[in-house]
Amino acid sequence: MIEVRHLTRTYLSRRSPKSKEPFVSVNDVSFSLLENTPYALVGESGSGKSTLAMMLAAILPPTNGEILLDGNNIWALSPKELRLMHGEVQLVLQNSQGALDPRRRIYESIAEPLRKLRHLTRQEEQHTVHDILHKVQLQDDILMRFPSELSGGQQSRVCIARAMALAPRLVIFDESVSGLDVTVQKKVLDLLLNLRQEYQSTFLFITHDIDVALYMADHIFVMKEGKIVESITDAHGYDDFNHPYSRELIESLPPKTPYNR
Amino acid sequence: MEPLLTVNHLSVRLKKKGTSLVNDVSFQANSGQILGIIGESGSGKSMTCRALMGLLDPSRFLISGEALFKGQDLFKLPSKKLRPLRGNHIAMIMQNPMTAFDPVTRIGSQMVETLRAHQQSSKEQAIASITQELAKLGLDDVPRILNSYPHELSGGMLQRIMIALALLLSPELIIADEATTALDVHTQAVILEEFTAIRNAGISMIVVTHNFGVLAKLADDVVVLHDGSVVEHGSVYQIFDKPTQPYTQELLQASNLKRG
Repeated sequence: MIEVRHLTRTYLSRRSPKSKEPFVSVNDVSFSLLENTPYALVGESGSGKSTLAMMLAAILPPTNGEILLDGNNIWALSPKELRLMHGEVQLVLQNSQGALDPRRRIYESIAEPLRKLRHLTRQEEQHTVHDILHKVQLQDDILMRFPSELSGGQQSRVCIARAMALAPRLVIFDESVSGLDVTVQKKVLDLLLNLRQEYQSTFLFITHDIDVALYMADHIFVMKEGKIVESITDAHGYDDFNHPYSRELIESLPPKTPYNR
Repeated sequence: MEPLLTVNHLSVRLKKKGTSLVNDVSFQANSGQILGIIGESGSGKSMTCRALMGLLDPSRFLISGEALFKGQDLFKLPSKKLRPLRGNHIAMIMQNPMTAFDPVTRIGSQMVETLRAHQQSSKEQAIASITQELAKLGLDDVPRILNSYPHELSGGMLQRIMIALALLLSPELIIADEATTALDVHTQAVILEEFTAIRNAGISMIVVTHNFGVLAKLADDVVVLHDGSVVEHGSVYQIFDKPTQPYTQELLQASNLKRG
């Protein structure tokens, strides 16, 4: 469905703005994602995960390389075609409070992309919003509230609802569950597994947590300093990771029981 | 095992509305051991720590109960007597190293200031002992660090500086409130090793976390908090192997992601 070829993104260094030496955030990355499949991408802070997510979602232009959606380079699309493409590829961010307009009621936040990208009557729009709201297990009464009146878990469900309302073919979750308590995180992850089955979408879970990656996908990419260092197609446990950096990440994890501390 | 700190029936309320934040919490921290306090956001973990350290504004919060540190009730001590106790005997490591330091003062002068507020020493002596302590924690290039402002250092470095600061006054008890939450797994592993070393040096700790892995690595005893109350209090082995309360079981299950 989507193919990434030699994708590179550089930034000019902020620490020394005058230096001509750019900082390479994503470095010559190539991979392809199939229709209706879950994937996960693991990496530490600063590994270039978020930059890659923004390029895939067509929010940030790459410095080099191309992203092909059904064979078409998305960064060669006309502005109108690019806008329509946003209905197919959606991005869900980590900080759900920051991703929602604080002065806008929840209904408006979920309905806006529908209004911009799908030609629906008011009634169809309302129906779609209510439908997706129930699918993310939220009650109708939150639609008239503001983001600040919701808990962190509710906010992240709203962000998921907003992305899924468009029935996109690819959804990228950039650390979407990182700030949540473990019990809430588990519920949101299970919800996402169900939603993916139902919508038959491709999901790319970006996370720093190997346990979350293993829970969500069989196909896992490991990213380090802008490069994908390992791609495991059938990951079931820690033993499937082979690259020294992946091993290092696993060894840094705290123990599961007090017996092997 | 001798209790170093015994907390009896601690309650914290908001003065204005009477909202209960911590409700009749009792536990004890044994000397030479690590007590883990686990709970979700809003469970009262941080409120408990701040109450113990006397960091809650008495015009806004109502604290009842007692906290006996070596027989002295911390809540009854006048602030004049509490001040030498904090830092010298009980130290705290905060969650967010980025906001715990003064952003407009260099690290070196912040450390010297803290040290000299508690002990008689010259500036040079202070810098010498700071340099030694930072080196022990694996930070090289100490002169550069002391000359830096907080924003010029990484979160992991700042956290280690805060630990060094806590250790410098050789306290008997260190309270660490979510000290590794903001760090990535790599840095977290380094800090957890540090805490193990602190324990091995005979210093007691209270480690507050929402991560069972941190407890599995460090804790001797565990207190599970939920909605401001103690749900379960037992040894780390009992909590992991035979949690008696449904809430503890739910927490453990949720933190152990297994596909089934």
